[in-house]
Amino acid sequence: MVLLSLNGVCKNFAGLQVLRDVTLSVEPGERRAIIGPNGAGKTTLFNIISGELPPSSGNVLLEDRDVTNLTPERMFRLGVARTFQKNSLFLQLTTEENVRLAVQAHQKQGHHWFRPWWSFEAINARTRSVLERGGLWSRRFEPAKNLSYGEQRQLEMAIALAGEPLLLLLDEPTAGMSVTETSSSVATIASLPRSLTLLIIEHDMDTVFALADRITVLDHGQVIADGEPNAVRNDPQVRAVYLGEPV
Amino acid sequence: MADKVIAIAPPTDTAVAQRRPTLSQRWLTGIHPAWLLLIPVLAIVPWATADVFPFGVSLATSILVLSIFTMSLDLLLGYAGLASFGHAAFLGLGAYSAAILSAHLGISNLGIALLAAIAMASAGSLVLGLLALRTSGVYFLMLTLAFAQMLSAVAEKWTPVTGGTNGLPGVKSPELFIPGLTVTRGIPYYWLTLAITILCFFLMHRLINAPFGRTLIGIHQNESRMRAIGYNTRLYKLGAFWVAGVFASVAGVLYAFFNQFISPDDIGFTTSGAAVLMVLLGGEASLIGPIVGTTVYVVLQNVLSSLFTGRWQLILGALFVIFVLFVRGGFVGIWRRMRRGPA
Amino acid sequence: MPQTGCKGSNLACGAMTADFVIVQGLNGVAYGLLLFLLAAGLSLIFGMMDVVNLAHGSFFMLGAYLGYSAARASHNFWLALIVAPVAIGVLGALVELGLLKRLYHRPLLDQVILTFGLSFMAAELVKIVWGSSELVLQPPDIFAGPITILGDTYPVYRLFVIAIGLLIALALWMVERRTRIGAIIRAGVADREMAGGLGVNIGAVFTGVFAFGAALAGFGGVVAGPVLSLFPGMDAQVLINALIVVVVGGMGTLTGAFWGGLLIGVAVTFLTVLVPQIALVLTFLVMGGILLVRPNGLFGMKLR
Repeated sequence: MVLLSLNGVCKNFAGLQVLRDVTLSVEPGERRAIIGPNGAGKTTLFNIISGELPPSSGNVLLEDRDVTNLTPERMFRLGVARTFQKNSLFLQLTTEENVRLAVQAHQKQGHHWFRPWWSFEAINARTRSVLERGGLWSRRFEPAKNLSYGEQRQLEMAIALAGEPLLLLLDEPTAGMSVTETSSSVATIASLPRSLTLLIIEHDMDTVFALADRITVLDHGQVIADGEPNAVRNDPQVRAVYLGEPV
Repeated sequence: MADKVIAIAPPTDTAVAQRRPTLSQRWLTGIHPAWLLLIPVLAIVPWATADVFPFGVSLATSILVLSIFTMSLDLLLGYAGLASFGHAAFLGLGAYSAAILSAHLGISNLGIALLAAIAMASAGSLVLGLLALRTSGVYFLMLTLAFAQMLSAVAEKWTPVTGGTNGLPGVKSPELFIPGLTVTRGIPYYWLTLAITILCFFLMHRLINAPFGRTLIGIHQNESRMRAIGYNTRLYKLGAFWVAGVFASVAGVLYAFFNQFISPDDIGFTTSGAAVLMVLLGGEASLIGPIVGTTVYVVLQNVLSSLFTGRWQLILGALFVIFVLFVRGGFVGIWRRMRRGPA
Repeated sequence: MPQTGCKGSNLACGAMTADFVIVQGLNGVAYGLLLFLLAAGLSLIFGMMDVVNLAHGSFFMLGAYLGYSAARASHNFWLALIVAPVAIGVLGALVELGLLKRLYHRPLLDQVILTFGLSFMAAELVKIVWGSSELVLQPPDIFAGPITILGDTYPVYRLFVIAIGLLIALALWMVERRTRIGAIIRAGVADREMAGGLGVNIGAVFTGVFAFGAALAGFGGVVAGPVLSLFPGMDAQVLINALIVVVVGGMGTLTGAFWGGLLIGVAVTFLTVLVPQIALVLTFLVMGGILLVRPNGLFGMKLR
């Protein structure tokens, strides 16, 4: 069964049509890249999927459940997590504390008021595994504001992963990273288990071709191509949009 | 607040390792056992010096009572990030509960007074919380302030019950457990207060180090992210409000029994503001900070009012101003910066 | 505000007669316009500068006391009405330049504590200079007497208060809508950084707004003198009501301050007369009710 499907999703902002009739479906375990020039509506699409924005028309289905108008908190609890272009971390807290808060939320242990935080073994174990997977274990006592930009992006992703989501939306995960940070990030993403489905907005084509099973191309709010990487790479319409070649 | 690291130092690696915590870590949650020695010191010194320094017991008692109040405010201000300027309302609810029971109904049982105070504080914090927590920042501040003034006005106007503007005298000494076991003024009351303060400190310390406290800190840091990862932040903030209100009302009960009198002036705008200053003075987001701040403030107030009778509020106000302009993070902030070494 | 003749509970006197409503209504409007003078400054100062000025009540109080002294010294109310606000405005400018300016990049609480401390100092200062007992500022002779409305006597001075309040409101509204300064201020409230980016000297505008707000409060103090009495706690009393007005009306909007002022002024006046014990409680509930429906106040914009 398809994990995520969008049907005829449109979005207008006061007369400006940002998304037009977007229809796509994502299989469980798939790595789907969403690419397109700036202003194509990619982040808006993510906002609609994760619940920050409602679509003007069309619907969003998670498995067979209509999730079109649910709030981001609801979506998170249903297993849809996302990262943001702009980091939204707990800067004064350490790396470990950042992840721990997310794990604690997921395990619903926030209400305990008498037992100290380090006595919760299940949270300890999960926090450790998330930090190790994200390559942040060695930086766990460092306040988040002292991390390098690349490490902070890793932390963003770790926090999203702490909730054991079904679907992870990565919004430009390698933006602003150096070459080494990018390849480290790509390796981390590639190593994520197939029990997790990924939707990735990216501009860096090397990253896209390294990770994606399928690519959806957006331009001016419309899907202009959707398919295997090689097919998309050779699609004339896509080439026109990116390289300015005549169709 | 920008350069303060709120995180407590994790107890070495027990954070994510599988080592059994030591006994002191389990029971004292990170407080060094040496601090326990302070307790007998605090108990004995005022008693021993009572002849030489008779004012000491009274001073120490008021410092302790107000410390409970300011620590509870710090839960809101420093940890949860809720700048409440009306916390004296809860002090008032507790104080007036105890005072009315004792002066009007002849019930001076401490347990009953505390129960009544907690009930009133629960109701009050629920009402205020449900209303004020829909807003943030300035609106929140003003709502809490207005709430406190409103209660103060009720105390002023409802003369038959609250004694009106002149206050309610005639509060007797409190009784413990059985009638007749009265805790008299002076040293016995001081010891009672010390015991309750230590208990409150312990409970609040536990709270802060438990998941609930960590969640509050997270909400303070980045509320929208907390919501995004699945926390019902409004509920947590309401919880913090309730806890802070309850502890403040406990302080109120102790305050009423200590002064054997309560008046609307005690629970107005000035008290709320002074409490905020005490927290900031000592350093917010710590429990020691409010205690230090309260001590400094109370001592200063006593010194100034005896040196400059009538003018001391002017100097106090000036101190507020100077302090805000030049000192950041309070005494605890200074201490933390010193510990971290030159940045 | 003193009530008309009935002793005991006004409700028992069949209070809701036409003349009662009119008299208290006028009282309410007068008080509401006084609150507007305060709330306008508070609201703009917050809207533009993100500063909660807890010393605003002090400006009001100092204006009243300075006006009192000026009026007694010169035997001229009108002179006091000009001198006091100007002096308070200058005081406001000094406070902003010397103290407040350093705290703009600090969290909200620091400014609150600063202004709170200043209000402490002002209250003590007043006690030292003018003493703790209640003082009365005499209204100018032309307005000193009563006038007869529908068979009831009513102090003329209060009508003057209403008139001057409306005049100021109108003047402010015209400045806000029709002049360049007004546009700059509206821009500053809406988006401070953008306004700064447009080449406006934001620092000077801040000082000006703060000083003007203070002067307005001081003016309100002098005008209020003959109606309310002068005593060292008057700043706290009026500040609370002004804050409620700002919360209800919405931050950063003169319209909100105006309508909020009228609403709260009338509400507080009627409630204080009818049910004095719980007047403030009911006002608080009214405020709560409004905030439940509109968390940013009646005319407030979304907080940045």
